[in-house]
Amino acid sequence: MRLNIKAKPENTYDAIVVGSGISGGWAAKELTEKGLKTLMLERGRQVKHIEDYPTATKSHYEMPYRNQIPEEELKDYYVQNRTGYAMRQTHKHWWVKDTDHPYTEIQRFDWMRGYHVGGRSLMWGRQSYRLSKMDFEANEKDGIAIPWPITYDEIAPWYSYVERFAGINGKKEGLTQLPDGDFLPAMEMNCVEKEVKKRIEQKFEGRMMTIGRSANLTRAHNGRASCQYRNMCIQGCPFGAYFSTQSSTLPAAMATGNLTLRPDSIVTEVLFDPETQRATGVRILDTETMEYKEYYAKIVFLCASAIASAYILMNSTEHFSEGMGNASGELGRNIMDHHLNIGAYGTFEGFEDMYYYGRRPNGIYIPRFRNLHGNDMDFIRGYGYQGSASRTGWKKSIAELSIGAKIKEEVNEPGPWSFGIGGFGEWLPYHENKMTLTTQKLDMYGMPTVVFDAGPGENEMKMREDMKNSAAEMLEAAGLKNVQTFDDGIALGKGIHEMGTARMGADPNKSVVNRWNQIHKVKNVFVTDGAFMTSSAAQNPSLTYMAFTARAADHAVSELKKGNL
Amino acid sequence: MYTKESQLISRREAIKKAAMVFGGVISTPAALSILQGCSPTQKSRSKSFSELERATVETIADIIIPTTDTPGATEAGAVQLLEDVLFAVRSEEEQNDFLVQLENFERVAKKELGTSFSSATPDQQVEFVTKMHDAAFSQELDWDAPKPFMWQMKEAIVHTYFGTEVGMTQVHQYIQTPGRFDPCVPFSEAGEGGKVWAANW
Repeated sequence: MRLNIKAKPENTYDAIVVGSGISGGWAAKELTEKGLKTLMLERGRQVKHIEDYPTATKSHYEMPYRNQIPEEELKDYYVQNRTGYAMRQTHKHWWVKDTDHPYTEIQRFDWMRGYHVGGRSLMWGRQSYRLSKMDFEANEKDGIAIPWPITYDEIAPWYSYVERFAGINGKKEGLTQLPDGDFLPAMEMNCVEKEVKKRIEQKFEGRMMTIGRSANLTRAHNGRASCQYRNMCIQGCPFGAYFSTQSSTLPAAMATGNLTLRPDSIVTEVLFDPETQRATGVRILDTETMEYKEYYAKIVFLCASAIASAYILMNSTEHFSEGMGNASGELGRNIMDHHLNIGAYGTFEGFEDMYYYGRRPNGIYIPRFRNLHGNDMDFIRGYGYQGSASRTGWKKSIAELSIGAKIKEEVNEPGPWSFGIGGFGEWLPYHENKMTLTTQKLDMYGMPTVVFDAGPGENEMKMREDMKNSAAEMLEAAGLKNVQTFDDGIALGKGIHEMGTARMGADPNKSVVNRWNQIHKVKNVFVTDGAFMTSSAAQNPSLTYMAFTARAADHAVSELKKGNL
Repeated sequence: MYTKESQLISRREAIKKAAMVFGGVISTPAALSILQGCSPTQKSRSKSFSELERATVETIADIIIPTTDTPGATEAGAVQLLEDVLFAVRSEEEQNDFLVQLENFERVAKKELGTSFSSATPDQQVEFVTKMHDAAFSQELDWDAPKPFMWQMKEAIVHTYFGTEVGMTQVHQYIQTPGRFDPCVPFSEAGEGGKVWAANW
């Protein structure tokens, strides 16, 4: 162990949190509020709330090229551009330049990243759903992978705890497969959504449609302002009205006086003392000075994202030839995401004289309705749909529009209502779906890079077929016209819900972390980002990361006090 | 795994999807770009319109969207934006296709008007553009071939116009910070009333 004895006291904290996104922000808040002197390390640049959101109050007409990015520049963002929405003048600065951060795709893997303080909490879709009892029991019931070592009832209070702080809007529906939370007032559906809801629920027993549950404040909450219905969240919110590290957890952590935030600090490995069998801290590369430094702490929280946390453990080879926490051989395996970009849309006839005011940063949600009472499809698990109705655009097509003065009147005859839904499907954990590191290709700092070899299985492909057909079937039944299906293809990563690389389990031979998110054999290292997920369920996962992070932090501090760490 | 099927999403599907994502009924220039077929590569040229090209595009643009109680296409900055987008965002192939078709437009104009388009009288220009416009939109569209010039021109200028401040805030209506969400209000009472909301995507 390369101890820098001189540097040690000033580089020593009670806790180190690696990463400043949704999970890292929560870890920092909880640990500092419990009195721990905490160092938060972020590989990317500093981003200060509001002052570093350069386009927060820019409308599209203020951006060059009608908000588009020149083709030449897009070449540097060849992966991020696969999202279809990331590369816009208004928010391109949140996404990594792929040419600076290469990786290898043995099978296609859409790795969407933001390297800056706040991470993807600044760009996330804010949809916030609880996993259910059914989800935590699924692996065991189906004999898939390994069982979750924790029940819904154990995590439920932690869901409430994080919901109350973050501010999640939603409507209580009493569903088994989508538990209610401690919600702020729900947003409202527009006329067409209300009507489609009614019709779907009439025609399909056991299916329902609710308003999306999102981390946007529907009233002032914890010192933050209510949503102003700009739907410009991804540009940064000057009202702090959606949950992000900057708007929510970071100010809380800072207020304790216990937090030190260090941007431009890439954690390269976790340090380990073989005598105590505990981690002693982390080594970082300061990207400003290009110097390596060591920081020490009693506990380390890895919240760098599923891929990056697994990377750090795999790269911690000083005492572990296969990487720290990899006694089971499961580190970097079982990568999951949600498969999406498949569904249907159509036009709605009626409500021609109705419109709306304001831009709701949220849509509708059709909770899972497949395999709820035993497996009765040709696939297991299920999916939910997200979508919305809207009426932007005008009635006449380009061909039909007049030329001359009359065109200005014609473009103010609103177009028909359209309604569309897209599925979010559960992805099973496959042992063969893995990431590894290679030194054959190095990044701009001379560090090893990630190799992805992971893809969908038969279950995902069969489920997709049903996701597409059921979407069209419901829209037809709801009376929509010109119903069309779409399928953009399946690719891991595109849901930006990558998870599972350090899965949780009771058996140290089959999992990386235990029920408290502690690495089985290195108990003072906690992994609380998407890496710990034992199954993906179909719900957007961030709320689950928040709940498990808060729970793990509580456990860590209690174990520290007992002298167990 | 990126399936072959997904790569083979047809152009037509891509257009429909674009229309859905943008919630609009027009196909966008982004969609337009998907529709472009190949065209022979021209020898390299400056990345802007020549004065003559710009004058012609401005004249056509103002015939499509004239100044009324609100500014027309050129005054609103839509032609400048169209030019910026064409030369910076679109591929060289798309630029060439547009320019070749613009050149062709000039040629046909000269033949029919007996004088260049720019030296024709305003009435002649309106008449000629209207004739070309009606012809472009009366033919059956081949989705796999480049669209006729007037189709491209109209689509591009209409779309670009609604990317300018004038188009968004004076012709359509736009409020950056609505402050609230009213899910169901009569069209006549939404904001200024009787106006389509600008698309701020």
